[in-house]
Amino acid sequence: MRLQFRLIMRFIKRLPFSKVPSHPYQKDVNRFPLLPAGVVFLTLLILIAFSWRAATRAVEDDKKNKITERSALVESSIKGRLSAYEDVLHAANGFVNSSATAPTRDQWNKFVLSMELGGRYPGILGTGYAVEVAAADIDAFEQNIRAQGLPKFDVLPETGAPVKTVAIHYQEPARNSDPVTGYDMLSDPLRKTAIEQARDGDQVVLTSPLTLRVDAAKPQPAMIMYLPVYNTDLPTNTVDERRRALKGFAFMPFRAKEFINNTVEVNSSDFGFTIKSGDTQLYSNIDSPEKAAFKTIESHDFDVYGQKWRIEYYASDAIVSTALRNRPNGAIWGGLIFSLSVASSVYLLVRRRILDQAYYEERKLQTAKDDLLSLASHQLRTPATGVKQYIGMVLQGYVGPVEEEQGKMLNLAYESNERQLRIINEFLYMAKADAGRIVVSRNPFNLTTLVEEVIRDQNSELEKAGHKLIRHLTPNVMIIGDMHSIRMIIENLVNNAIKYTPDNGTIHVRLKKQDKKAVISVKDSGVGIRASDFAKLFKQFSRIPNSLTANTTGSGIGLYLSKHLAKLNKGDVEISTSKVGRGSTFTASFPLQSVKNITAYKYIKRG
Amino acid sequence: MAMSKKKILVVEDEQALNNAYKIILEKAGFDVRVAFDGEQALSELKEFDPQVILLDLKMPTLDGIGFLRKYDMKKHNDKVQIVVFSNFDLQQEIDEAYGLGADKYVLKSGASPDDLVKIVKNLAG
Repeated sequence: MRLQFRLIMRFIKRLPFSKVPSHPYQKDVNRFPLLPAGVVFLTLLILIAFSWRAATRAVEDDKKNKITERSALVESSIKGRLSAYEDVLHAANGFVNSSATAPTRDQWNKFVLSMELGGRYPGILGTGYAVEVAAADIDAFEQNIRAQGLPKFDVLPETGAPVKTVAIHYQEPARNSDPVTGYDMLSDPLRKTAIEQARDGDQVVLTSPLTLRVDAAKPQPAMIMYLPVYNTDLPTNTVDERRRALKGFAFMPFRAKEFINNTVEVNSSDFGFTIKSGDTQLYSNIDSPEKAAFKTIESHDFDVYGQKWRIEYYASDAIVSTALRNRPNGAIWGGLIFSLSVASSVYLLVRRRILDQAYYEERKLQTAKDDLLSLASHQLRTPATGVKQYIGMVLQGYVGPVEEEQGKMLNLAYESNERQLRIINEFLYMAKADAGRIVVSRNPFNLTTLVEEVIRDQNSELEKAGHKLIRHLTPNVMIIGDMHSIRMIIENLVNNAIKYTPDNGTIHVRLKKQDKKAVISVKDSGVGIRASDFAKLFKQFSRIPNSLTANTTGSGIGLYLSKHLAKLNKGDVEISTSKVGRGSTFTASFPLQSVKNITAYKYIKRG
Repeated sequence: MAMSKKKILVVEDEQALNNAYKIILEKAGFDVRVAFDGEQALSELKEFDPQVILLDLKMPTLDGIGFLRKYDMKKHNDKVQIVVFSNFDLQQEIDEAYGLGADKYVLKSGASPDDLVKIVKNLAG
C-alpha cells in the first residue's frame, strides 16, 4: 500500500498543475495531520453511502411502480377483453330470446358473422349455442338438426346421462367448424362444472383450463366462457327456478395464448409475465434466455369469472430508465471523486495553515533574534567607538605632541580596544551565522589575487613575528563564491599560522587546482596539534591548550566560522596534517568556476 | 582665490562622538556643522548646503532612516553625498539605507580618525 501510495504521489507531483511553489518552511514541518481530512472524508463517505442507498431504493421503487403500471395494464386489458366477450354472449342471449323458437343454423351464423368479431377481436375462436336435451328426446333432436343442413349431426359422446347439453350452433368468425356441433358438453367434467355453475348462478362462468377438441392433436390451454340462456317468461330467482327456466347456453371458447397475444401488449424486452390457473400455465411470454434471467417477481391473484388466475410478473432492470439505473453508480463514483477532492482540499488547507503557522512562529522568533542581534551589535560597539576616536586623536597629536612613553601606553590602549572591537565583530558574525543571517553571494573571481591581497595585508604581522612566508600560487585560479567571506577564511588560516608559529618560523601558502577544486593550503612550522584534538578544532568556542594560546588574540571561533563560511560557499576547511612540534597544514577548498556553475551567477544563499 | 571650504553635516546623537567627529573634520579643513537627531538635521539643512552628510542611524526623535525618508533628494543639491555611519551591520539595515538614497555605509567602529578623514575627502571631492 505504501509503495503504491508513493508511486501515486510521484505521479501526481509530475503533473503540471501540482508544481505548487513550495513553502519556505516545507522541510521542517513534516507531518500534517491527516485527521481533519480523514474525518471529512469519512463523513462524506457516510453521506455517499446514504445517497447510494437512496438511489438504489429509488431504482427499486421505480421498478415496482413500473411493474405495477404494466401489470395493471395487463390485467385491465384482460378484464376488458373478457368483458367484451361477455357482451357478445349477452348479445347472443338477446338474440336467442328474441324469438320463441330456437334459432336455426343459418340464423345463428348470420348473427355471429354480422358482429364482425374477427375484425374487432382478433383471436376469437367462435361463438356457439348449446341446448339442454333430455336423453329420451335425443333422436328427435338429431333428426331436427340434420334437417337444418347438417346430415351428419350426431349427439356425442354417448354417455347415457339423462340430460345433455348439446352444442347445436357454432360459428367461427370466418368459417364453419363442424366438430363442435353435436358435442355433449356435459360429458366433460370441466365443462360440466362451468355449465352447472352458470346455470345455477345466472352468471357468466369461465371453465378451468382445458383442451379444445379441435386441439386434440396439439393440446394447448384454452377456456370456454358460458352464459346461461333462460326462458324470459319464467322466474330465475332461485336455483330450482333457474334450472327450470334454462333453455341453453351461449358459449365462447378461446385459446389462452391467442387470447393474451391479442389482448395484451406482450412485446417488451424488459417485461414479461406468466399466467397460471392452478397448476396449468395458461400463458408465458418468457421466451428467451435473456427473459428467463429476469429477476423481479410480483404476483397477483386475478379473479376472472369464477376462475382464479395467478399472474406472475418479471422485469429486468432495464425497465427502469437509464438515468435512474445509473444513479447508484453515479452516486458512488461522483461521490468518491467529490469527497476525495474535498478531503484533499481540507488536507491542503490544514497543511498550509500549519506551514503558515510554523512560518509565522519562526518569523516572530527570527525577528526577535534579529532585533537582539542588531541592538547587541550596536550597544557593544558604541563605547568602543568613542575610545577609538579619542585615543586615536590624542595619538595623532590633536591635543599636542605625545611623548614616547605616553605614546606606547596609548597605543596599547588603542590596540586593546581594537581587539575588543574585533572580538565583538567575530561574535556578532558567528551569531549571524547561527541565525542564518549571513548572505553569501556567488560571483566568479580570481582567487589567486585574493590570496595575494590577504598575504599583503598580513605583512606587518609577519614582520613583527619575524616569519618567512613562501608562496606557491597557481596564477588566475577562478572560482565562484562570495569574496568577502572567503577572504575572511583565508585571513583566519594565515592568521592562525602566524599566531601559532614561534617567532622566525616559516609559513607556506599554496594555491593549486585539484579535482575540479581550488585548494589553498597553509602550512606553518608551529607547535602542531595532536591527532586526538583534530575534531575539537572546528567546534565552536574550543581552544586547544598549548604554549602559545595564552598570548594570542582571538576568541577561538575562527575555525568554526571558517568551516561554516566555507560550506556556504560550497567548499570546506580541513586540517590535512599535523605533527606535534613540527607544524600543521590547513586546507581550504572551493569549487572551480566551470561551464556548469557559471550559470549560477548571482545566486544568493542564506546560511 | 582660496577654494571655499567643503561643508560637512555631522548627524550623531552621542555627544562624545559628535564632538570627536567635529574636531577631526575641522582639523582636516572642513566646515562642519552638527546635529543630534534627524529633525535637527533637517532644519540645519534649510540654510546649510553640505557636500557630505555623515548620518548616524540610531537617534531619538527622528532616526537615520526617518531622516532619509523625509529628506527630499531632488529638492536639495543632488550632489550631496550621504554616508551612513553606524554600528549596525545587519544586511537588511544596509539594504534599507541604500534603498533610501544613502551613497555609502560605513561601520563606525571600524573607522579611525584617519579613515574618517579619508572617506570624507573622497566623497567631498
